[in-house]
Amino acid sequence: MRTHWTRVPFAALVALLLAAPARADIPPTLVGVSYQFSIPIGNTADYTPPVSWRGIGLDVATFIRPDVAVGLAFGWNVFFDNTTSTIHRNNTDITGNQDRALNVWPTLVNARWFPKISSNRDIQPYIGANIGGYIIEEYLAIGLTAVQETHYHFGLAPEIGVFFQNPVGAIFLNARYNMAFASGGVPFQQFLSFSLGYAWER
Amino acid sequence: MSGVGKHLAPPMLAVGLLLAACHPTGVEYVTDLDTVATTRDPSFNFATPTTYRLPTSIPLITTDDDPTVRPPDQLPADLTNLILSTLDTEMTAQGYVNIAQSPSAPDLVVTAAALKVTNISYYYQYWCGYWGFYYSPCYPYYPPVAVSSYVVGSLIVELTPFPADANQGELGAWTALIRGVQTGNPSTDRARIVNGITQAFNQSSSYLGK
Repeated sequence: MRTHWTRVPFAALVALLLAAPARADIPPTLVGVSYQFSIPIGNTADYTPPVSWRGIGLDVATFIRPDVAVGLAFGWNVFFDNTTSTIHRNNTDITGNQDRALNVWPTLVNARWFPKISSNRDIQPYIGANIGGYIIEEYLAIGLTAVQETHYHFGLAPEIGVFFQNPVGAIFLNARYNMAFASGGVPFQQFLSFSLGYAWER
Repeated sequence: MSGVGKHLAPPMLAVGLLLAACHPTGVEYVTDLDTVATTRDPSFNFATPTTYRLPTSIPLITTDDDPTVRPPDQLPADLTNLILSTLDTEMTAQGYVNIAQSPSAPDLVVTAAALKVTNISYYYQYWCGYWGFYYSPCYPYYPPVAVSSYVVGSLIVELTPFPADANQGELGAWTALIRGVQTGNPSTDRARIVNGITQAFNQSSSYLGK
């Protein structure tokens, strides 16, 4: 583990900072952690309408070109609602006090492109694409009865963001449109997550 | 890892975990347990039936009675009247006609039962065979549902085609399970019974209604 930090030339994505020129031949690995809030869309909003304020992310990435990084993205987003509305399932309608929750764990691989917009890369935007899976645990409790099922959903997630470099790392913001396709009887899920995080070189 | 990153990561992760680890709340009031569930036979066309008939009594199904020996007890008259009048109101509101005063056979028979047991499956096939001869014609008397376990303190209501489909037997076309009608507070329970029945019809009106 390095005991000193190296000023990076520009900041990278969810977890990325750019490598110093002196280390250009050794692509840096970058780590980022983030707080996330998410806006549910479609079926996800039907099941748990409120905005999710509970979410974290962990990103690891490495640059394969000065303007392209590949990496892994993990997260945990919790959607929750307490409602007395009617839920519809397989010709059955149920009304009562319900606790509904979706625990979503994205496990994605990604590629991100950092266009050179100026010689000063203290502010570095990027666009990216994620592909992989979403582990989604759907929880429903009505009265004394609770049902929980977990499925692995194939998913895609386009993403845009920006890094604000500082001498010791970078603060980053991004928005990711998460799409988890239907699996195991659980329909297509969508949510837009916003991340605020900090990234550093490892 | 940079020194800053090393110091920032643990608190950020801790905050994140704290935020994410929140779990749903629990039940605070007994009414939080009230549940109304309705289900239907998707192959049954509710546009066809127009008339119905209500039962004259509502059995209280307990584990004390063996239906092959004698019929179960009945709900008290005041509760029976409350439930039947509410069912009548809701069926009428959905556009069906009660032909209680007519000799004609109804298109639908409404059945209801209050449950004090957790398993009523063995009641289904017995009524007409053992006790139906007391009543002619043999309308379904117990809700002839195809499920086996309910919670104590529930009211179950069924709409059953009449005469019964030869292929399906006396399976209901629509079933409502209203949980939470027995808490020990009579006045509150009466309101919950009415509200529960009304909710059952409201949430099914898209296909029940005329």
